[in-house]
Amino acid sequence: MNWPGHLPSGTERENINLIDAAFPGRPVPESSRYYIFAFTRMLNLLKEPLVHFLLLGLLLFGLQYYFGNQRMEDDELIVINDDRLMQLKNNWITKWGRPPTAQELDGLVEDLIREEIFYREAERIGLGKNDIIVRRRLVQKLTFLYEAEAGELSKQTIRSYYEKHRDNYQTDEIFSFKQIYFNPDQRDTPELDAATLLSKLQAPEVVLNYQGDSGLLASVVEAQTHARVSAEFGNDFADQLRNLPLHSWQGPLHSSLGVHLVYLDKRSGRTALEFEESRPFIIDDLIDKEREKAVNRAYMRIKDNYRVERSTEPEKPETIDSE
Amino acid sequence: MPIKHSAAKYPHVLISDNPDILMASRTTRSCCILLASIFFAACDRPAAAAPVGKEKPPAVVRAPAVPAEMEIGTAVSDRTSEFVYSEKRAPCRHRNPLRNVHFGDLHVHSSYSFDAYGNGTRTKPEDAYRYAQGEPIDLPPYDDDGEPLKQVRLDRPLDFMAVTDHAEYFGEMAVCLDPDEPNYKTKMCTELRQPGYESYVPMAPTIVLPTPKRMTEICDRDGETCERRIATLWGATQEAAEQAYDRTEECSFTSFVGYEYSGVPRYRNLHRNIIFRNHKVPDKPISYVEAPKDYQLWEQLQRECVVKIEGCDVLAIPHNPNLSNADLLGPIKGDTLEIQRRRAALRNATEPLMEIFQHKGNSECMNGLSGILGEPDELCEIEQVRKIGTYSSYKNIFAEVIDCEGDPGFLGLFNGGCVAYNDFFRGAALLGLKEEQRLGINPLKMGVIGSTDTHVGAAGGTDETSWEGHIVYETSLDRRLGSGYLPSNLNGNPGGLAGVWAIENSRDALFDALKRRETFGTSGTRIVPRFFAAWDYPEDLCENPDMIEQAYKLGVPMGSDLPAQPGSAKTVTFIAAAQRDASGNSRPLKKMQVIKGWIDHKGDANYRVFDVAGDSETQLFQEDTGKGFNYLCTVFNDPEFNPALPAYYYLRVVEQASLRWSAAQCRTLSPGQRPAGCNNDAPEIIHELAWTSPIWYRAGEHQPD
Repeated sequence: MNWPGHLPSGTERENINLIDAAFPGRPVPESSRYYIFAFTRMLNLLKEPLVHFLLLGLLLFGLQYYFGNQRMEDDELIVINDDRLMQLKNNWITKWGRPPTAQELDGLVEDLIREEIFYREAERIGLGKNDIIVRRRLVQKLTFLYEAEAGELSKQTIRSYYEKHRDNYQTDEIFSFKQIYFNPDQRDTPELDAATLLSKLQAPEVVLNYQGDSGLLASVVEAQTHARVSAEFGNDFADQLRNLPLHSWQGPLHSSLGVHLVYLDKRSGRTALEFEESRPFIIDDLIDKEREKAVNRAYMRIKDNYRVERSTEPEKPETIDSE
Repeated sequence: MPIKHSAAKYPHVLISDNPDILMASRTTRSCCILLASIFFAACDRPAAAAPVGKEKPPAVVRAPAVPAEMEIGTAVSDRTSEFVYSEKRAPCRHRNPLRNVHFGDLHVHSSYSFDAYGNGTRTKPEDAYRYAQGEPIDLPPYDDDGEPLKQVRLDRPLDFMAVTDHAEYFGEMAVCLDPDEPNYKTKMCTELRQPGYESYVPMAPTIVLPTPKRMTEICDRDGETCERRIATLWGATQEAAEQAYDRTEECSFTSFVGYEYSGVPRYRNLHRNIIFRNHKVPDKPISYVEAPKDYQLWEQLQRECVVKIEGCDVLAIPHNPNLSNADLLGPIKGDTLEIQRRRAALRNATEPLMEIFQHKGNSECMNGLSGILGEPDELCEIEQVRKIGTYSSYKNIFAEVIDCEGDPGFLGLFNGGCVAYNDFFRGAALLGLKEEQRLGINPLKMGVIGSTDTHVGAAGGTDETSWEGHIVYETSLDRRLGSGYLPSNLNGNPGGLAGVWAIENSRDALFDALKRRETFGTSGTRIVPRFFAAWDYPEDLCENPDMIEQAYKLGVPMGSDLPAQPGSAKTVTFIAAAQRDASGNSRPLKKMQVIKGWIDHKGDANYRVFDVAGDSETQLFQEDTGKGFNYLCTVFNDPEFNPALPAYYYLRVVEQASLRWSAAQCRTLSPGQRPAGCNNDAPEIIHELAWTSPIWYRAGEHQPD
C-alpha cells in the first residue's frame, strides 16, 4: 500500500495528517480534530519513565492473573484437534482396513477422552510415582537416550577385541557317523531290538551287514554341521552326538523319527575364524558393549548430583537348621 | 566371444537387428541350448526393430514379436554328470548325486515393496536373509520411539531364499524415500511414508490398469524421474543377495537375486516371481510396466537375460492363480497358431514352476468347478480362501464369487469375481495337456513349490503355533483373528515352503533342480517326499537299501517326462516315499496319495485320487488317535493306465490332523486371556500337506522293441 501525499514536519500536524491519510478521500470534520489532537497529546505521556514503570507493573500483574487462571483452566481442558482425529482414523484404518464411520469415530474419541481424564486424575494423585512399571519404562527411555551417545568403532578396537575374544568366533561343529535306523512303525520294541543288535556289534570281530529299517535317512553321514544333522534327524538327535563316545557303536538314541544306533567316526569341535570372517560378528557384539559403556559413563556423570544415605543392615542372627 | 552389453542401455532395441551377433552367441553356447522356437516360428518374420540410432528409447515397451532365431532358456536336461558352475565360487565340500533335500522360500517381501513399506515394514532384504538363517529380526509395527513390536526368529534355518520385492515400484520407492528428490514432498510420497493400511493404495493404478503407466505425481509426465532411480533398489537387492550367499565350500546358505512381477489388471492376480540363476542379471528388472502381457514378460526375460548376458539364466514362478479369475494359467492366446506355438514354447521354457500354496491360500484344487471331472476331494478345502456364492466388498467394489465357465473375470485380489478349474494346479496341468494336443508343446508344464509371501521379511516362518503374521496388520493375535479385505488375517495362513532335490546347496545346483522341476511344495512343515516313475520298478524296491539309486537308474524323478513306453510294459509304476518332518513337535504322517490327471477320448479333463499307502480308514479332519507313520513307502501301479491318453501323476503326502494356527494360538491362552476373535468360524483342524511336481506321460510315444 502506498502512503498518500507528502507529510509536513511537526508531530501534531503529522498526527492530524495521519488521520487524513487513514481515510483518503474522506476529509475528517474539524470538530473531531480536537479530540484526535488531545488523544495524541495524551499519547505523549507514554514517553514518561514513571508511566512506563506503572504500566509494566500492571502488565506483569495482568499476565500473572491471566495465565495463572489459564493454566488452571488447561488442567480441565481436553483438546481433540485435527491431528489427533487423523491419528485415530489412521489407527482404525490400520486395524480394520477402512475408515471409521462417524459413530465409530465418536466411540474412539469417547475412549480417548476417558483415557485422558483417567490419566490426568492418576497423575494428579501421583499414582505413577512408585509404580514399578512406570519407573522401568522411564528408566528404559533414559537408557535409550544415553545409548545414543555411543561412539563409532575404530579399527583398532575391533582388532584388539578379536585378539582377546577369539574363542567366541568359531566355525560349526562337524560330525561324521554311521547310523542304523529302527522304525517304530514296523516294530513293537524298537529300543529292545536296537539294544540286542548293539550287544552283538560290540564284539570287535563282528562285520556289519545289517543296514536297519528302510527310510530316507542317510546311513552314512560324512562331515556335516550340527545344523545340517539337525535338519535331517532333528535337533535332539544332533545334540546327543556332542557327548557320544567315538569309534564304537552307541545307543539306542532317540529322534522324532525313531530309534538309532550310532557309530561316531569323527567329531571336530569348533575352530577359530579368521579376523576378516569374524569382523561382522565382532561389530555386532561390540556395538552392544559400546552402548553399555555409554550408559555407564552417563551414570557416573550424573551420579554425583545425588547423595545416598543408607542404613547399615542389621546383622542377621545365625539360623540353625533343625536336624 | 562375449555378447556386447551395450544393448542393455537400450532395452527396447531388438537384438535381431544383427543376425551375426545372434549366430555368434549361439555358437558360444554349448549343447545345452534349446531352440524350440525355431521349429514353431521358422516362417515368422521378425517384427520391425526400433532404429538403433535413436537417442532415447520409448518409456513403455510395446514388446515386438520374438525374433525367430531367439534361444529359449537352457536345456532342462540333468546336468549332474557335467556339472559346471556358471559363477566363481568354491566347490561345495559335499555333493550327493542321489540329491539332498533343501527347504527354502522364493517369495519374500521386505520394506523395498511399496505395500509392505506403506503398511509399516522396515525390514530390509538383508534382514530377511538374516532371518532365513536363524537370526532375530524386528517385527513391525514400530512404536513412536522406533521400537518394534518384538523380535522374531526362525527356529529352523532355511537352506535357500530369494527376496522378491515388487519391481514395478523400485523407482517410485527410491524417489519417495530420498529427501533430495523434488517429488519427495508430493502428497503420494508423504502418505506412503506414514504407515497405514492404505497409504500405498493411491500408487496402485500402475499395476491395476490394463495399460500400465507410472504415477505422474511421483515420476513426472514421462516417468523418467522414477525410471532413473530403479537401479537404486534393484542394486541394493542384488547386493543383499550377494552378501547372504555362502560361496565357501560349506555351502550353508544360498540366496538368489529375484523380484516380483506384479501385474494385477482389473485386480486379476497375474503375479510371478522372477528368479535368476546367479548374480548376472539385467540392468533393470522387467516388470509389468515394461511387459503388461505375459508373453511380453517371457520374451523380454529371454532376450534381456538369456540372450544378451553371457551366463544369465532366469525363470518365472506364477503364484496365486486362485485369485486370478481364470487369467493367470489360461489357454495360450495369439492371432495365429504359429504365434501361439511360439508363445507356448516360451512359456514352457520360462515358467517351469508355480506356487501351489502360500499365505493367500491353496492353489492345488477346488471342489465344485465346471470343466473338470472327478470325485470331490476333501483335502482341497484346506486354506481355501474363496467359496462359490460368497460375497466380498471393499469401498465401492462389491463382488460375488461365481464359476468363470470359460470367461475370465476380475476382482480376484479382493477375493471376488469368478473362479475357474484352471485357477488351480490340478486343473491348469490338465489344461496344459489339452494345449499340448492343440499346439504340440505343453505351455503349462509346471512343477510345484510352496512359499510364504511374507511382507515382513519372515522368510519360511510357517509354524502354525508360533506364526506372528506375514503383513504388518497381522502381527498381533487379535488383529490376525479379525478380517481384512485381501485374503489375509483370519482368512490367511502362515504359508508354505519350497522343497528342492539338488546335488548340493549352490545356486547352480538348486537352479538346475528348479528348471528340471525336481521340486515339491509343502503347506509349511518339512515333510520329505520322493516320487519316481518307470515302466518296470520291481515290486520290492522299498525294501532295497539302494532304493534311491535304483529309482534314478531305472526311472525318472518328480518333474520329469516318462521315457517312451517299451512295448513290453503294460502299465506305469511309481515309487512313492515320504518321511515325516524331523522336528520334535511335528505330526506323523497319515497317508500318501497319488493324484492322476488325464484327458479322455472325448477331450474331457479328469482326475482321480488314489490312496496308495498309510491309513485310509479313519476320517480326515478328525483328531487322529492312531500313532501314524514316520515313514511310508510303496510301489504303485496305475490300475487304469491307457497308453492312448495323455496323463500326469503327482504325489500328495498327508500329515495327521493338527490345529490350524487360529485355533492353536487361541488354545495356548487361558480362556480369560483370549481375544474376542478366538470365537470365530474358521476351521479348527487342518492336515499339513506336501505335493510333489508331477511326472508326465505323453501319449503316443512308444519305444520300438
